[in-house]
Amino acid sequence: MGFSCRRSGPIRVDTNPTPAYPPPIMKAGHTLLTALTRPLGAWMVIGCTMLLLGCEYVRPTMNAPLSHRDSASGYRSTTLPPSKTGSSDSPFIIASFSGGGARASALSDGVLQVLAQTPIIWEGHQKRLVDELNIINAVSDGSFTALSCALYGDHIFQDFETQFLRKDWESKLRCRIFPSPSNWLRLWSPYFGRAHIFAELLDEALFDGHTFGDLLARGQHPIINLHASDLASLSHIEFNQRRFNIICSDLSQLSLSVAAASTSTLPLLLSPISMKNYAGQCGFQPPARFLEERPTAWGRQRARELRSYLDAKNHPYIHPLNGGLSDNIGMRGVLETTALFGDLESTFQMLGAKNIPKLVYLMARAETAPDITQYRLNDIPGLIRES
Amino acid sequence: MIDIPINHYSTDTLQLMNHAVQQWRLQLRQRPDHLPNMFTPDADIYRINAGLTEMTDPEEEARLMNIATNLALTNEEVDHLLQADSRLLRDNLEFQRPVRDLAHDATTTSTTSDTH
Repeated sequence: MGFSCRRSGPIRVDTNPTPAYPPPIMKAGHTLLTALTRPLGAWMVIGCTMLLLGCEYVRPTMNAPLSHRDSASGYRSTTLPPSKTGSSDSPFIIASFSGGGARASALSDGVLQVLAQTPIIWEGHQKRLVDELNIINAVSDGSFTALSCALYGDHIFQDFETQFLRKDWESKLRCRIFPSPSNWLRLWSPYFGRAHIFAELLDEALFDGHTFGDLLARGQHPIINLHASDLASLSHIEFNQRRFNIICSDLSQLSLSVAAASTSTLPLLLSPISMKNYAGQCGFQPPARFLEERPTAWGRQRARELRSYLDAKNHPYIHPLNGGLSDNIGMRGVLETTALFGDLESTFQMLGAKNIPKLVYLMARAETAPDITQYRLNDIPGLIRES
Repeated sequence: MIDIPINHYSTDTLQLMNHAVQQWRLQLRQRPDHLPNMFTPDADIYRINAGLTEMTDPEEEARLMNIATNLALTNEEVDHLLQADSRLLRDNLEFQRPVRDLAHDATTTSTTSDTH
């Protein structure tokens, strides 16, 4: 959450409580003139004005509305060919790329390399395991690798290391913020945070303005399901058109860098990137599974969470936080979706799959196992723990 | 080292995933033949846990655990992670099983088609 600009105004130019006269505007003009004659005062007034303007004008809307919901279009499994080689009855691999900093990005890159180096023969055709990778559920820093894989295909193996893994993103972010008065101004807005600037950095270095629409246009698997956590409930948010239909938003227009940054935000470190809820504007009718009683407690909870987005009046904005806060592995989406649909067959029917001979769940986990017997921190505990 | 403790429930997710895969395997075996289904009659489900905490060499695991979860790796750390990742998956028995089964299916299919 941001902070109020008015509450945070750094100076009060006139502390005299009396007079109704001169009128406020004249008084402000007088104060301005007086202040301009004093360099320090002038800078304080200018600074205050800039901060006020920042609050008013830096309010980006990152996700676009969807004019008409169409179940046959948008970024989702059923709008892509069944596998990279076009075969519908071949092994079906669902991977998850965990969060865990750049080490997670490196681990998932290494996993993709092994899949690309593992040949298989299916129905007489030489293939690679990576060609059968249908879905990647990605969380936080795993999302950078997953999106690069979907966007660049095999080129990821040449470029990802130099363009992402071997860069110091923390220094880059600091250098983008601290020496830049324009970014100070933008960051003063309660609607703009460091994650927006991080998204800009990612866009310049990795995603080059590409959107989910570009992934759709490539027409190749794997499909990437990014997972974030909703600030309101810590339930998970999936970035695919099936889920964006609920909020009547067009995922195709969302930039990959904004989506990736959204899944990586953490309170205090990277503030959330707000998404607007346009529910009710695209003709989306909630399916029966949202409204009917589900057989499991998990299914009922998921249905309740999804129903909450249908009321845009009372839930006008969504604030995605780091996906790791709800599930750092990236497989809870698989479990919850299956619980919501009721069984495995119905879930894969929804995904448009058929004749699957081998279903593989591959979890790439870069998490740490900190030695909690060596916890010596004496400061007030926060989200960042130093040991 | 800076660590952000957000993976507390990962063990739960792993357990739930293990349990679910066992259940789904059972569902596949018990499904009625006459209903349309998304899986072949002999379909199988595999679960591969490729986690850095699964390294078999304790020293190697300790070195990997000391790499911070930040966004600024050294070149040495990147090299180390990429080498470890490759071994982690190749040496993983859960990964070897579907690869072996796919190779077996390819041999069987090839033999069958040769005899026809």
